[in-house]
Amino acid sequence: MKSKEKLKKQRITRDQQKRWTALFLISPAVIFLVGLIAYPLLTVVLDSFKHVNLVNNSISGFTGLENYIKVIKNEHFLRSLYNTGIWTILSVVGEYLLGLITAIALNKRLKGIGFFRSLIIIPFVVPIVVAGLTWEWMLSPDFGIVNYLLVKVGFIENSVNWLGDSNTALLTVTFVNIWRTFPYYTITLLAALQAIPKDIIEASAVDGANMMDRFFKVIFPQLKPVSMVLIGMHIIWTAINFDFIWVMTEGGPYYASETLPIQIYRYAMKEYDIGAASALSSMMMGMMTIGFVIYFYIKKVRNNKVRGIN
Amino acid sequence: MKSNRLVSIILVLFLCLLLVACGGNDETSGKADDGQVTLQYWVGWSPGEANAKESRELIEEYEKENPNIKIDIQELNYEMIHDKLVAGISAGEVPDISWGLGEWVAEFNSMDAFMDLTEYVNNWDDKKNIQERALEAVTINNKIVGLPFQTGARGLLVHDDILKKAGIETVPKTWDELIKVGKEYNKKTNNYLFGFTGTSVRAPQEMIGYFAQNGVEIATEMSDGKFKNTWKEDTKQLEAVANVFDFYKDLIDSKVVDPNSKTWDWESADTNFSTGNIAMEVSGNWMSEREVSNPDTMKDVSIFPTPYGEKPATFLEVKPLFIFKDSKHKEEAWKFAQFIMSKEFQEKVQPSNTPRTDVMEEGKWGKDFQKLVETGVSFPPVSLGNITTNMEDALAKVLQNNEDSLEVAKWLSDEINKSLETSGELSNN
Repeated sequence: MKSKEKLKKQRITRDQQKRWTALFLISPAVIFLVGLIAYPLLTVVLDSFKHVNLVNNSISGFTGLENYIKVIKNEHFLRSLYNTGIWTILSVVGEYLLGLITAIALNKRLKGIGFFRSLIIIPFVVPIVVAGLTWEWMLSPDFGIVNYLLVKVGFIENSVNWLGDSNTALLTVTFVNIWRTFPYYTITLLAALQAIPKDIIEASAVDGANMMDRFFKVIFPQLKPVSMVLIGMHIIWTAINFDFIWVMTEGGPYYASETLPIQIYRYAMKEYDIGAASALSSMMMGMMTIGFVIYFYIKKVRNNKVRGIN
Repeated sequence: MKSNRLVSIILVLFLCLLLVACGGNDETSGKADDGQVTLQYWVGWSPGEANAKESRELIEEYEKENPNIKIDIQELNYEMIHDKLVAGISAGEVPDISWGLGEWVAEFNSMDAFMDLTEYVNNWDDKKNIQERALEAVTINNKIVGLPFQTGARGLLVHDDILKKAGIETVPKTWDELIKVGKEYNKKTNNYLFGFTGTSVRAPQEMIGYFAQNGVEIATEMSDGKFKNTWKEDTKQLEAVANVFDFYKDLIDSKVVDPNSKTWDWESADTNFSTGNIAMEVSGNWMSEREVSNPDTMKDVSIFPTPYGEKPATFLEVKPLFIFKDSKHKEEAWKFAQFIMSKEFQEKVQPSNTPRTDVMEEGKWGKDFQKLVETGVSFPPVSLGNITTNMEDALAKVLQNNEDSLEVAKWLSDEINKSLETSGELSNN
């Protein structure tokens, strides 16, 4: 009996030991996260409730919600919010569809398919600034190859100022973003496609399923988990993206392609109003967090339903 | 077990050491090691440009003559320099010496970023050889906050051969003449005579020149030493500003300029001119470099004064060299700055846009531009970050949204005063 009690005590102590060792080993990563992420995040949230102006030290102190009201009352805020939504949704949908189509095309056993699989990654490895500047010149109404070819082929009569027209600027930058990012989807979805057991697809074909049925009822459901992760990640990355739009249009012409991250940059680097920039950053962070909490809650409820848990 | 624990502890300590090592920053005010000083020098030249190559060679010679000083050059574009300086000044981590733009002088001075150079410059032998107006542009409230290392007025660049081919003999001197000649040119050739920038840093620079031609300033110094935009207090001033916006509109409506000019940045404007797409533009003497990249289309260029509204005026750009208060090697930085401003350096690297009165490049890119300095105007010494954005927005309202010029002038006046109030520079008078 005594030896059993001693063993029980030892087991608890060993578990605790393991836990402490694990904590100890991850402590550098925790310090890193706290120092580089948590501390700046907290500073931004705190600054959003204060007057912080880099060129005017006489403005200081607690402002309450003044910065948030200032941001919401800005004449360009609603437009930036709308543009952010359009830019994010169209980019992610376009990238996903193009990525899926190319992944299906590359998931064939053909001679030389390896060459095409390596080619497809090229847009993604081009640095954003290089891609943005190159496309800017290609789309130029005066010197651009895109206008030249479109006029030559007869799609348009005269050159179009794609990045200089408020009706086309945001959509043009979105198109370039889709071009640059879809290879990431292609590679991920291709890997997922290759992981689907061939016998399931063959069995469905034997059972009389046509090509569309095989794709939508057998293959596509298998891609759902990977797709949800991809889409979730890219919604965040696209919504907070600054470089592409800044390089190509700087949010112009006249705010036509301005999104919330561009507006944050303007508050901080043009108006030197760190309080307003922090307020808008905090609002954006809050919106994204709420979005994901709702998404995960709905997912959890659905999963529980499937498992028969109330 | 004990050895496993020891290994875990060593691993954790090693990872912590790595984190600490990652925190070091090489870009800011340089190190001193056994008397060896490294100066961080941020420049805005384009790698491969002639002046970049020449500068590097001279700097290497300087290092040989001063073996205890090493110059660590970082090549950045102006936007990057600006953003890095804003972040660096706030964090107290700045280079020793940096290029800048005239538009940044007041705002960085408000951030208390600069070393006070007043005594240094007043005791400097070369002070008498520096253009007075250039030194004024880097002086705020009698405090000299930088050195004017590049100056240049804007002039009207004209492709003589293109005009001759179109049968046009007169170069316009006024706005009315420009529109008249522009219409004639468009009728004869179906092309556009002129170009302006609707966006980028150059748009406000062009606008300020046109405002000065009509006798108005964007911010006037008041008796309390602060500034105010006074357009709304004087109908004549408001009308003069509206007149400038109408001039821009007329240029487009009369087909003197390409409608795409509304959204041209400086690069589009310069490239359209250097390739011969347009016959005229208001630009600076850096266009001499385009003679190398576009030898065929740039060989016929002449320089004239900018067409004016009521009186001749043009934008005078003064690019400063900043030495920062937080630099750990101020004396060495000042010594190096003197070298950059020396006759030897300026003659070899930038004879056409030097602030030195004893250096002059013969020929159009030097002498012809130098003649225009007399009528040059610069930005007022106020924080311009938001004001220049307001000016671009005003132009966009007029040209892209077709808003009324007078209403836009009133809007711009209000926005300028709001910006001055936010930066604490608005006069109460």
